[in-house]
Amino acid sequence: MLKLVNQGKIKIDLTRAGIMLVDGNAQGMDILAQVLGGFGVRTPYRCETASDAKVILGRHDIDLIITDAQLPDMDGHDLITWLRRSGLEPNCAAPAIILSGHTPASSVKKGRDSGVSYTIAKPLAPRVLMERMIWLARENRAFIQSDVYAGPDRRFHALGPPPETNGRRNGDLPPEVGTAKTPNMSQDDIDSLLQPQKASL
Amino acid sequence: MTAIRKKLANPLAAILGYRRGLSLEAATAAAEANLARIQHDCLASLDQALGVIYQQLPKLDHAENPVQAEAIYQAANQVLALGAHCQLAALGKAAFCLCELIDRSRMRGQWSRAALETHLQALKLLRSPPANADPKTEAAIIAGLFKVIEKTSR
Repeated sequence: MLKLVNQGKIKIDLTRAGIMLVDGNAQGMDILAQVLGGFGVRTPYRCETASDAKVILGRHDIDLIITDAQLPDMDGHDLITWLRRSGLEPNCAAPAIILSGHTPASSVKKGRDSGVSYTIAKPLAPRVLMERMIWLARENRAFIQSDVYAGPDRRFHALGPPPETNGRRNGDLPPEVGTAKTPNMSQDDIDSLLQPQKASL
Repeated sequence: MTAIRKKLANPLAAILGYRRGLSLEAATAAAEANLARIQHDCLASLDQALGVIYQQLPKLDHAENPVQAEAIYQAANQVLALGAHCQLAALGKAAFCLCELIDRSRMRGQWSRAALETHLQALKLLRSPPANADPKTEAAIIAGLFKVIEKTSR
């Protein structure tokens, strides 16, 4: 039996949420719309291009953005990077999920630095999308703005998934992080820690 | 380097509750049911993408044609995205392998005709698996494709 979170009676209500879907592929958009329709989303904003998405983001408050990684006029990661630095309040900090097929090795670093909240690998499984949406609804990550990065705080490796969610480990830290006691690491230091490497399959 | 750390209201926090809305199981089941309804459309798109691969891949020679390679890569990515929605999950995994092979070949600048041909044949087999094919057989095919990728990447 499907058990997404420890609290069995919790419900999800997306009828009033402002959801924006961005996908240049008609079939991809159809799949996304069908999944979210099942989740109870009534009228999501549907955009085929990044340009269309920018127009919507400038006019409406958006609670969640779900975009394909490959758009006809722009990379989906670049769209999120643009949004994070756009100054469009409150949308610039809106949770964003990227749907990605095969990711070329050359794009791994881009995904890490673009400011997306989560990346979901295709094929899109409703259960996985639901889990990530619940994580997003429960988490309280700070929004970081720096010279080289804007987006949700990426330093949550040891925090694990949000409390009361499946997948937390004994060693996961509590979600609240205290004030930093040492200077910020340089981008080079961070890069050396997060050097992407191709897995041996 | 200065970094500003802001705590902002979570716009999605309001979607979870105990009174209104759908149970998580019901919402996921409804989404699965909706996907089942568009399976035929997905299959048509999948076959269209496979058609591109079947047509272009045999022409891809050792002197890589970047446009052709990208067209095949994009088509394989489409098959990867649709396979599981058409009850052809193994086909989607094989398409992932083809994407990986093309990506690595582009990075190295070296192409293996035999490796490409192996992937093409695997895609054809997994698109119309024999009636007696079982998940173990399909898993073995996928494992074999990963071995081919590893071997050609050395």
